[in-house]
Amino acid sequence: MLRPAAFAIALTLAACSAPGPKISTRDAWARETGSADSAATYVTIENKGGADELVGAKASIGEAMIHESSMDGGVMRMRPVANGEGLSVPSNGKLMLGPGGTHVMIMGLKGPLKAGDHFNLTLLFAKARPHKVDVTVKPAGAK
Amino acid sequence: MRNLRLVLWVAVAVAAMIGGALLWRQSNAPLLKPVPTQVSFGGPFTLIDSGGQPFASSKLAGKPYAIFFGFTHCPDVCPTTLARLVKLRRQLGNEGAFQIVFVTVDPERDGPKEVGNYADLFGSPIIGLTGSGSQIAQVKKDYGIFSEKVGTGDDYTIDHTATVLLFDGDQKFQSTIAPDETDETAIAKLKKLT
Repeated sequence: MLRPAAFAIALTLAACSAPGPKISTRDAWARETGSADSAATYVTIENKGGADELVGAKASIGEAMIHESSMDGGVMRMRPVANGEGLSVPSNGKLMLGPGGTHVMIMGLKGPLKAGDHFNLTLLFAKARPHKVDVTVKPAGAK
Repeated sequence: MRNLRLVLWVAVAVAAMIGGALLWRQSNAPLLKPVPTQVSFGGPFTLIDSGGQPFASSKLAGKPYAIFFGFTHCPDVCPTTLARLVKLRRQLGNEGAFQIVFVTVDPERDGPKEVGNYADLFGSPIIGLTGSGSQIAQVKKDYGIFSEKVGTGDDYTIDHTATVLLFDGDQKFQSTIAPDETDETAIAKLKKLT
């Protein structure tokens, strides 16, 4: 519903030469897995340009989804971030995906992730081009 | 003289009444005691260890322990919590300061091997436990743990209590560590156990 309006606003802003997002990433890591076939991936996304939204992710090693952990009266719940609902990457700001909060969940791993492994993750944005990230697997005890 | 005797007899009678009242109160004392309002958790259990052998909670006696309920397919909160407990134990400067116990709330997928592999990931001793569906249900009840399966098929996840429960060497419930508590608070609570 909001799409056309947002588009119109985006056009107007573009006319006023609003800067596009300038995305960079750092500290991309995932935790070593045991027999489980899923892993959480964490990354800090920095934006030195105009506001954008993280809308999805793709991974070379399994199916990637953006998940959110939240506490509700001592109970931890994990849910996918709803389809089409992006996570804000503010203008000249950052979006941190970290333990116990929002993370990229990778499901259907073909084998366990071992400390020292690397894999590719591609972050998808509403405006910026897909951004490729090299993810390092850290020991399970990493924080 | 007569008056004095009367006064003394009255005093004796009063003393007897007070004494009797005290005795009566004492004998009824258990009934008058207020019901403790502080909630407590815990209790003996027998589960299954990573070697497939029965594990009685009496094995934990003598040393404090931190017990956490989760599942091995839990990619975020469970490893984060266990990693944190390991880190806090190192901060206390003593690997033997307290025991870390991990109990699965997902016995369907987590057998002895799965909990064992999972517990071994953290580079520091963690006791991984599973059990039959009814054993796990009982221990969850005794330890005040909520868990609920979300989704269907093989990819289900589980919402569950993420609070760590702390017990002293006499296996008495002492306190809890919540995920959003600072390390300083958690360390202070852990220090009190010993």
